[in-house]
Amino acid sequence: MTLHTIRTGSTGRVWRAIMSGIVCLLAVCMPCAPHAIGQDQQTSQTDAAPEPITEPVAGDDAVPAEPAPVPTVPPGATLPVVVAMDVPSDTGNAISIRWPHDVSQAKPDAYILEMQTPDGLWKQVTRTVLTSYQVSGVPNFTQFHFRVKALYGEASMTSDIAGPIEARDHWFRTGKMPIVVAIAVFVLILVMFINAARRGVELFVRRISGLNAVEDAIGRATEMGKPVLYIPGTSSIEDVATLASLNILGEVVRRTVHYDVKIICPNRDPIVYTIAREIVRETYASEGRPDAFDPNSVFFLVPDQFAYAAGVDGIMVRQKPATIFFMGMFWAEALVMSETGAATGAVQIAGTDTPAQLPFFITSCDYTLIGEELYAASAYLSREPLLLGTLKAQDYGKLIFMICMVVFSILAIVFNWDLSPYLLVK
Amino acid sequence: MKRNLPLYLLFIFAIWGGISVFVGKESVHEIDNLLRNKLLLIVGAFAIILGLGSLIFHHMVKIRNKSRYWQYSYVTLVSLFISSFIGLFGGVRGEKSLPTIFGGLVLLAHDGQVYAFQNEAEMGQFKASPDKFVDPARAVMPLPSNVEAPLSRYAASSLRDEIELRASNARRNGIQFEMISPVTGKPVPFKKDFRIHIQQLFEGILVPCGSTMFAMLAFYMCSAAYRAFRMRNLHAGVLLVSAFIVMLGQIPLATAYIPGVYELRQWILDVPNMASKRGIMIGVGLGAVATSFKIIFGIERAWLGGDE
Amino acid sequence: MNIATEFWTWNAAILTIAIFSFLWRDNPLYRIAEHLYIGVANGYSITLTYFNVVVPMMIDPLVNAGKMVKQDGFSTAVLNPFNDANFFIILPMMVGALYITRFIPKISWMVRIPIGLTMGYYTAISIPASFEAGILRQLEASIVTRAQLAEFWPGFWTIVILLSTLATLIYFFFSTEQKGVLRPISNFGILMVMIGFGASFGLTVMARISLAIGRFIFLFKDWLGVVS
Repeated sequence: MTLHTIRTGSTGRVWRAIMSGIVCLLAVCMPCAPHAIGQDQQTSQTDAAPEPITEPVAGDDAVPAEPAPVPTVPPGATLPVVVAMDVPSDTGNAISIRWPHDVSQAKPDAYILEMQTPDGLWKQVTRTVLTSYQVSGVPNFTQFHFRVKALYGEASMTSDIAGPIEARDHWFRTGKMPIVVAIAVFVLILVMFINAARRGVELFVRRISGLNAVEDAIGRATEMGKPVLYIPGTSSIEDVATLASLNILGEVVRRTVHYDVKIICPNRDPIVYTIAREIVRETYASEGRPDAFDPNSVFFLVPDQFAYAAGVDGIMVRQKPATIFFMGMFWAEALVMSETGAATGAVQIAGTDTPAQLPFFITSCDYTLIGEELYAASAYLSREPLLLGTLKAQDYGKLIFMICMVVFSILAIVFNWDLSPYLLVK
Repeated sequence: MKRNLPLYLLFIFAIWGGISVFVGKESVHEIDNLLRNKLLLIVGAFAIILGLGSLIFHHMVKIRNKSRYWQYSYVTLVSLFISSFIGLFGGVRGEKSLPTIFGGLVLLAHDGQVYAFQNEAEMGQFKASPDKFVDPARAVMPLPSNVEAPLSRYAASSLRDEIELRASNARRNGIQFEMISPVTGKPVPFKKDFRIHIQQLFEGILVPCGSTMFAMLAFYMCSAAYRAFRMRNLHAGVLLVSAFIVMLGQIPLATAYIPGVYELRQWILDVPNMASKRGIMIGVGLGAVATSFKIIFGIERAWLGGDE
Repeated sequence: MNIATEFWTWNAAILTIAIFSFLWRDNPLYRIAEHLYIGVANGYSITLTYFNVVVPMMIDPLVNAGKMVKQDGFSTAVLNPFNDANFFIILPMMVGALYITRFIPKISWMVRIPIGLTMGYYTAISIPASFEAGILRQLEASIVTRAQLAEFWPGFWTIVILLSTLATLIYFFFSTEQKGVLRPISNFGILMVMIGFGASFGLTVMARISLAIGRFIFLFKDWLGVVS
């Protein structure tokens, strides 16, 4: 992704001030702004499917709109038959109970599910209009009994007791099967490409302009005699984006050693700092310049998100690096840093997999690696066959998922075979 | 040994981490939780020592070399040492031995009740012969069950917060809230204490600095938008137009006067936004998986110093 | 005007102005605020780590285990990591202490041991998570079903979303040159991406402006008291 930034300098500051003023004024004049923000939050919430607590098994039955006024059980009403079973292939602590309703019989207003604990006491689990319920949080290998009361107005019928039943944990969680299949397919492709790379097959990867710019950007720093600033994201090692960033750091340092440019790498996470320092030190050593490694070039700054941004801003305006890399995972502080960097006139190359921060990098950096380009970067920069093999595996994995998308859609539309539930992980 | 041992360990822990996701056995989960929530946290805590060592070293070098703006390094070092000292010895809210709460309303817990006094001398009089002055009607409030008498600085400080809250709630409901000294029978004015415990430093320094840095985003967004506007290329233009429509679509004044803007905003969110996010997420997911495998299989070993 | 008299309100106001002053340019006030912010944030983090990790997870179990052994003699219970009092945690402490070997050149390679096992564990658990949330859930959501085509326009847009998702994925396909028929498709893909990014940008603006207004309200209301 190539976007050329206009460096605004002091004019930018004036514009920033004028535009900020206008937008602030607009915002102040509009009393409904918070309401509007609230709407957005609602919109975004709809994307995420809420996790249901209860899991209806049988077709759920609607409650009759009017409560039955008769205090006796209607003629023909039958006792509910309760079936209780351990939830299969789960982590335990859950029992599934069903009491299917005979549609030819009178429909109760509601059901009360009761559970008998090992000490012999009956307690109400839930009152529901559905005909199934999943009790969770029960201890494993402890026996429970269940019964259901069908309510008809003030009258009720109590089912026979189901049980004893106990929750159990299982070795394999079959709900995770789609992941196992996906991993198997991916590993197969990966092994195929790694073997191909080992055999010396040339693996083609197209030009990625953001990554081609790395060499030029470091060259620029050499010409200007100014340092390169590398921000390895603001997350911890738990994010793979951070690891991808650390791999890119190795490649960037390889070039800075070659051009004899100073690198500055402030860190937010102490573990990331330790790894980053090792990478920089080892790269200096492997490039035959262990003496040139400055232990003060990679340092830990602060774990607080905005304190880190404040510190990095300070480094940018005081040390005026010629090139700035933002690689890894970022949150709201991304724009604070990248706008400051842009105002100092540095060439900025960003890369993140966080969709929420990408627009800000695109508008304030010269080059932005969008999403998976970040993960492709270390292979692309090093051109090492094995790494390129993994990049190809990533690509062909994507192709398989694209084919799945099309084929599954055709099957669903033409033959009405909806395979999408098989992709869901439980 | 120097390269292989860390790689073997990486592989073993990766196998454990990977498999534990698919195994439903409670015992496996217990071990996994122990590893994730305790053992790895303990290991990681030592990295903080390195981190702080690095920060201190960085600033010491700056001071020693008299680098540009070296004087400010003293601010960081001094504030780091003072705040750590206050935190470690004073506790998070002043519950430890180092005094971090000073002055404030004089309170005493007696017979399950909390009494307020004008000053320490008055409280001394009360303590000397409580039977002479005790009057439950003059108690500010009953002593909360989680607070023990005699009151520590920390306990008195949280009681002051509680009293202040009750007073403001009473004022809001139009009820008079007054504290009467059991010794003099005169009203005791509310007096806040002065706190310098680490939680106060958090609220008084970190929160305002953090909120202001966050608030600066409003200004940076404007300059970023202006920068994109100056770029004059199709992609930046499309981004800006889309941003402008979405922004307008959430302003009631604009949706009232510009027909179709709300619908257009909704379409942008539901169609291109949804599609691009899905595409990016699938790509990112695969990229993350590929990177993870690279590390687990030892293909990516930048952290070990490459292949040499 | 009802100006604040509290020390901490004044302190917060001065720091707010100091940080805001960076919008103009780097200046001594900002430099002091920045360095103070970094120092105190680190102090706060040390305190939290000490009270949330060091004391409950390292000191307490060891001290309690020591007391247990003193009272009841040695038993295997003090080696059980699941017990509140145990000596087992010495093991992760020793592994963690290997971070410090960085300062001893001869054995500095041992710093890779804690790094390796931490990286190994976290990379592995990220694989199923990436497949689940990043890939399979998105794949499932992208599939067009017959029910979605029941009405014309919603059905039409569902197909457009599927095609746009495919176009986006094609833009990020690195194994072939983007030429021929792939060129317009990937161009369409990146256009969709840019519209999507614009939407993210637009959605965030109001929230950020609210934050800025919040800071000004603090200055004018809580500190200066010129606004009621």
